[in-house]
Amino acid sequence: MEKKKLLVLFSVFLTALILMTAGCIGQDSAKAGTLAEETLAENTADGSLNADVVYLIGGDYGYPQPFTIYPRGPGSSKVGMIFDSLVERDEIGIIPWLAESWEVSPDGTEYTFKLREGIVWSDGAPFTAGDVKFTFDYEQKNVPVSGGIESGVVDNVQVVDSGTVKFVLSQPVSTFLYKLTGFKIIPEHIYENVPDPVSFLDPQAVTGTGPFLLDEYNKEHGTYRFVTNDNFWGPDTAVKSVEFVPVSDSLIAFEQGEIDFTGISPDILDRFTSDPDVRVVQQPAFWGYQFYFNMKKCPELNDKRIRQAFAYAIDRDELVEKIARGAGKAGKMGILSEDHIWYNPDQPEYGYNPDKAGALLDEAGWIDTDGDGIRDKDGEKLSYVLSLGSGEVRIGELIKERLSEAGIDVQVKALESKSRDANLKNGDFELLISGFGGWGKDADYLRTRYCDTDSQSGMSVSSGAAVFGYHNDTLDALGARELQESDDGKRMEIVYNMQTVLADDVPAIPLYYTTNYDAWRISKYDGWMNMYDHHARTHSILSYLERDGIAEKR
Amino acid sequence: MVKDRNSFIFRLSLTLFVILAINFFLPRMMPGDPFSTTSADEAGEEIIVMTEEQRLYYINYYGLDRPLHEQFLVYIKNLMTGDLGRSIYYKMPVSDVIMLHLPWTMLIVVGATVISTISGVVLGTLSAMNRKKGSDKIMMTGMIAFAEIPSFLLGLILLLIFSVHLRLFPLAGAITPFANYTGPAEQAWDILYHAFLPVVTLSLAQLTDVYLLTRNTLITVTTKDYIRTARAKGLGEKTVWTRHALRNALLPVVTRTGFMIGIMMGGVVLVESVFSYPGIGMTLRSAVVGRDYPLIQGILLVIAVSILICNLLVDKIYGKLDPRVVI
Repeated sequence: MEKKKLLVLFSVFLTALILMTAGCIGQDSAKAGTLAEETLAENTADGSLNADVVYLIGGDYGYPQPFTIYPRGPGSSKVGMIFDSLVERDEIGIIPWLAESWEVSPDGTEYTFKLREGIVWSDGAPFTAGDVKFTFDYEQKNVPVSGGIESGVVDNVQVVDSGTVKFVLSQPVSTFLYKLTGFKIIPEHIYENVPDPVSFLDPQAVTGTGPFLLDEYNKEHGTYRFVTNDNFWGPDTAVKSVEFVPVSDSLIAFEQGEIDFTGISPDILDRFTSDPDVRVVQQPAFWGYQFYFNMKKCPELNDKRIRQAFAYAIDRDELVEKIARGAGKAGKMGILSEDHIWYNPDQPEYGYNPDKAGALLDEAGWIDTDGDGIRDKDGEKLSYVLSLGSGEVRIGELIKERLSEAGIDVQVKALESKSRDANLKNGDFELLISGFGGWGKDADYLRTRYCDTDSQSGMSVSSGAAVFGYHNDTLDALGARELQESDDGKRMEIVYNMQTVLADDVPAIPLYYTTNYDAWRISKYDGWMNMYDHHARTHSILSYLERDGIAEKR
Repeated sequence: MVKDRNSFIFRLSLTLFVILAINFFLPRMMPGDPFSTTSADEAGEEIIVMTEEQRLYYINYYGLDRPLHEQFLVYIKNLMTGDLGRSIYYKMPVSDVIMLHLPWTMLIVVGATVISTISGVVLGTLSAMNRKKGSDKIMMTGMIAFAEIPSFLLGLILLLIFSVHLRLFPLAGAITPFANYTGPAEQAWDILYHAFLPVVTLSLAQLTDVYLLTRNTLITVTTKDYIRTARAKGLGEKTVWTRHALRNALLPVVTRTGFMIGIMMGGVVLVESVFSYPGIGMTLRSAVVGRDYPLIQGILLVIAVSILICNLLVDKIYGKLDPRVVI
C-alpha cells in the first residue's frame, strides 16, 4: 500500500518535472527562430563617459604580472591595466604607446623606437630604454605566460640612448609590430633581483607604467581592485577604479546592479532591449569553432573534392540559428571571419548544398554500392569518428545528421576537453571540433596554421598543418612572402590570395564564429570600445581611458 | 598490546603509501599535460595557447620531463619534509592554495554535517515515535521525494527564492568583496550570512539519509527485548526512548556521519559552483581540468587523510557509545 502511494507520488513529481523542462525547450526554440531575423534596435541615448567605480565580473585569474597569470581566462588583460607595451591597439589599428614613434630599416630587420619622455614607474623610478632591453633579455630566460616574443624572431636589442631602443631581427618579420602590442615592459630595477618570477608575488611585482595600480587582489575570493595610477604618463582615466567581484550568475548580478557589464544570451535579449538605460551590442565575430580533417590518418581526405563535399554538406547557417541562437556568423572557407580587417569578400562560397556535395563525392568515386546509405569505394566505407568536447555535442549531432544525408557516416565521440586537446596535438583523431578565440588577430595565423613549412619563427601552433597532414605548395609560397612583406598594402593582397587558395582547398572548416551580445548600463559608464582584433570590450585598456590626446592620436 | 599497536601503524602507513602512489600516478595517466591547452571549454572563453617552445620550457621548469619514478621519489622526499610542491596553475605552494580554500569547505561541510545529523536524528525519532500514524507517513513520503532532488538543483532553487526574489541572502561568494570590518563579530556575521544557503543546501541533501537511518534503526531497536524490559521496569516513555532506544540506534548514525565527509566531497563541488563559493571542491575541479598534478595530489591527499581521521574518530566514539567495542 505504502509503496504504491510512493510510486504514484514519485511519478507525479517526475511528470511535472518533464513537463516543466519540455515547456522550457519548446519556448526556447520557438524564440530562437524569430530572433535570427530580428535586427537589434540601437539604443541612441547618451551615456556617462566617466565613472568613479565600474564593477565587472570577477574570478581568480592570477596575480596580474606577466609570469603569474593563469593560462585560462582574461588574465592578460589584467596585466594590461598595470603594464604598458611599446605600441597599443585601438579600434582601427596599432597606435604609439610607450614608444612615440619608430623607424624601420629598408630591409625590414631593424626597428628603432623613440620612447616618450618623462615616463615613470608607479614607484617613481624613471622608465628608460634599459627597461625595454632588460625585459627582452629577461624573458629569453624566463618565459612569460603570454606576450613573450618567440625565440628566433629578435636577434638582439640595443639601447641607443636612454630614450631610444633598437630591435635587430634575425629576418624580416611582418608581424613584429603586432607582436609588440602584447610585449609588456617590466621594471629592470625590480625584476633584475628576481631569479624566479613565477613565484614572485610581492606587491613590488606589480610596479608598472600603466594607468592603474593594483589596490587589492584576493585569490580565494577572485576579487581585484584597480585604482588610478597618478603617475601615469598618458590620458586621464575615465574610470577612476575598476573592481572585479565574484558572481554566481552574471545576469542576475547585472539585474541587481552588482556588476555594470555582462554578456547576455540571445534568448533573453528582449528583457534588455526595451530598457533605455542598457546598451546591447554584438561582439565582432572573433571567437569560433573549427572542424579539422586528419589527412594523415585518413589518406582519402587528401582529395580536396571530399573536403569540399563536407563544406557543402554541413549547414553552417543552421548551426548559427540552432546552436548559437542567431548570435553568430557562418564560417567562411577562407578561414578569416567577415569582421576581420583583412577579410576577402571575393572567395569561393560554399552555401548548404547537399546535391553539390553528392556530385563531388560521386566524382571522387565514392558511391553507395550496397544501399546502406553510406558511400563506399574499394570496399571501404566513408565513415568517420568525430571527436569533440562535451560542450560541442549538439554541434556534432547536427553535423552528423547533415553528413549522413550526403552519405557520409559520422560517429560523435565526446571527450573531456584536455583529452580532446591531447588527441588534436598528437594527431590522434579522424575528424575533430575545437573552439577557440583569436580569429581577429593578425592574419599571419593563416600561415602558422595551414603552412607546413618549418619556418624559423612563429612555430606557435601545435595543432597546425603539420599535425593534420595538410600541404599546399602555393599556400606555403604565399605564406613565406606574407611573413617577409613589410608593406601593409602588399601584405593584405597576399593575405587575400591566401584566403582564395584556402577557400578552394578547404583544409579545415570554420563552423561558425560567435557574435555574443554585450550589455552595459550607460548611466554607469558608456565608454566601452573594442580593439580591432579582439571580441571583448572589457579587455581593452582604452575602454577605461579618456579618449582625447594620446589615446585618440593615431 | 604493543604488537597490536605496531600492526596498526604498519597498516596505516601501507594505506597512506597506496594512497600516495595512486594520487601520484593516476592524474599523470590522464591524457594531456598542464600546458597543451588548445581549446576553450565554452563559447567566448579566453585561453592562452602556448607555443611549443613555451610548453617545453614549462615542462622542464616543473621537472615533468624527468622519468616518472624519479619524480615520484622527489615527491615522496619533499613530502617527508612537509613540502607538497608548487601548484602549476596557481603558481604558488600547494599548501598555501589548500589553506586558502580548505577552511571554507570545512565550514560548510562541518556545518552541514552537524545540522543534517541533529535534525535528521530529531525528525527520525519523531517519525519512529509516531509510527503507523499519519504524520509519520506524510513525513516519510515527503523526505523520500525530497531526496530525489539533486543538490545543485536544490541550491539553484534556494538561490532563486532567497537571493534573487526575496534578496535576503547574497548571490555569490563567501564574504562581501572589499569589506572593511569594524570588528570580529561583524566579520563572523558576514561569513555566516554568506555560508547560510550553501550549508542549508548541503544539509537538506544529506538530511533524508540520516532521517531514514534513524527512523528504521529505532523501529528495529524498539522491538528488542531490552526495550520491553525497560518498559517493564516501569521507566518513563521519555527515558526509554532517549536512554535505551536512541542510544543503541545512534551507532549506525555515527558511522554514517563519519563517512559523510567523504560522501559530501562529491556534492560540495556542485554546491560550491552554484554559490560561487571559494572552497576546495571547485579548486580540485579546476586542478583536474588544468592537469595541475601537484595540486591534485595535494588536495586528494588532504581529503584522504581527513577521511582516515574521521574513520578513527568514528571508532573512538563507537567505543564510547558501545562499551563492547575495543580498538
